Amino acid sequence: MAAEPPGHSSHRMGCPLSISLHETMAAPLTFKEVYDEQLRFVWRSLRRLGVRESDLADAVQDVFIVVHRRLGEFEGRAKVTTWLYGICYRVASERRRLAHVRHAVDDEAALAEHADPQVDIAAEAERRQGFALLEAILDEMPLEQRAVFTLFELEGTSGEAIAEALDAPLGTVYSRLRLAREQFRKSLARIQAKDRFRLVNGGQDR
Amino acid sequence: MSAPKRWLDEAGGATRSERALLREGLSIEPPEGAADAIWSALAAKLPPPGGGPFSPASPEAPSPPAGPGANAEAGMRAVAGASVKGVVSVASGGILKSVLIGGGSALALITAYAVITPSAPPREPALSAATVSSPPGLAPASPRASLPAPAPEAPRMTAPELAAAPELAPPAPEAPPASAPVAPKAVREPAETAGQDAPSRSVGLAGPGADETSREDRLLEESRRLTEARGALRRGEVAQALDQLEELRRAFPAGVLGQEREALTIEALARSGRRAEAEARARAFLAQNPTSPHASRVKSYAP
Repeated sequence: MAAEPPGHSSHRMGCPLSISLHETMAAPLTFKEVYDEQLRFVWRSLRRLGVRESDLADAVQDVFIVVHRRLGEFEGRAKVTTWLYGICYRVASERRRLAHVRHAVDDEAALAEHADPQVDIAAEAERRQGFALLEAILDEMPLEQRAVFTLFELEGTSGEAIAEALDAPLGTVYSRLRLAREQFRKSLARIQAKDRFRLVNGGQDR
Repeated sequence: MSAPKRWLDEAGGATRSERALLREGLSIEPPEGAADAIWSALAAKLPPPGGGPFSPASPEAPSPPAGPGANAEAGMRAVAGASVKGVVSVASGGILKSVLIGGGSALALITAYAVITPSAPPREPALSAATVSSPPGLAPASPRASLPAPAPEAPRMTAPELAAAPELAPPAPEAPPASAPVAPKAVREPAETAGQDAPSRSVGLAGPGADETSREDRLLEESRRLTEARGALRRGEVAQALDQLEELRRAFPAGVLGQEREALTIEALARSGRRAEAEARARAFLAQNPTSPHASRVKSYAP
């Protein structure tokens, strides 16, 4: 979702189109229009909320299935991306919750998988190195912080728009941002220290 | 307080390396063709009530997607706790293969939707095979009382690549997610759900013989089977565990999870009374993998 001023300068790739109130009332959006205009936004929002590449197509569909169902409710709201992000957040949250359930079920297995460097290598091979580190850091944030952080820092969304998207007070948004930034630095420091240790000691840590 | 500046802003308070790290998260785009593929998949799941490319839900209730929506959502939450596992395969040309494991709510969302729409095309009800157990909560609440009726018939129709796995087995046999981003995914053939030891398990999308099988699918399959064997061992079904591990070794001789498999095999051998074998293999393991994270565990079998 765009920071409000149309002249917002850091258009990384163009802010997703937001439909003005006037336009909304003049011509109701069709589902296809929403899809065409917002697919990329939904895709990257979900990705930044931690949905993995392998799940992304499914998660995107989940979002648009909800969109399809509730497009009627949406009529009249100011910004479609605001509304959309709320749906993305819920979908990502549900998937994250289920991922944790699976983790909890077989801790030993999870440990063993983590411990085997070959599995890590296989995973790493699928992803770019740099993004993998960023993702590892973001994974350690609670989702509500991750949402604020990625919206603010990556999407360039204003605090007010984030507040609306997440249905939270502005003060809460800024508070989460601060916490997210602290968490970011903590995680980064920790992961880097662990990597240095691993390199220095020539093998995986036990 | 004044609004904070973005970290990517040079005056935002972040270090250069932090900004560099953040920039990694900027350019996230769907790959070529993904938009169309996902649209096709949606087309399969959202059949137009009146024909035409799923015309927008009108604000009024009569449009099927709108009315039962709230109930579907309630139902979705209700079934979220049930660990319904299912395979949802996207229709378009195998570009997108995906599975919802334990994706109770997401799956229920999709399948609940499938239940609601009256004119579901033949392919779609395959999804609702997994909902046979879930929508009971939806049906009475839905104003479209007649709509769930098609659902019980649905399980008959299963497109080749669609396999709903209605077994409500605990998530344990599933591939543990761990560090692999691919983990929350496993691809199954319908035959696989028929029985644990179905030999057809090794055939099909995740089998070693399939050329198109992606590496991550194979890793998932290997991981899933290892977890099954581990589960068997935990339950005390030592002989079964040994069989499964041996099959696993044959199916994935150079598997990524070879160490795990071997460590588990050693443990299983020891527990089945074949101590000499366990000891021999433990020694071999330690010789070959001295710094393995499993070394300390394996060591206990090679005093």
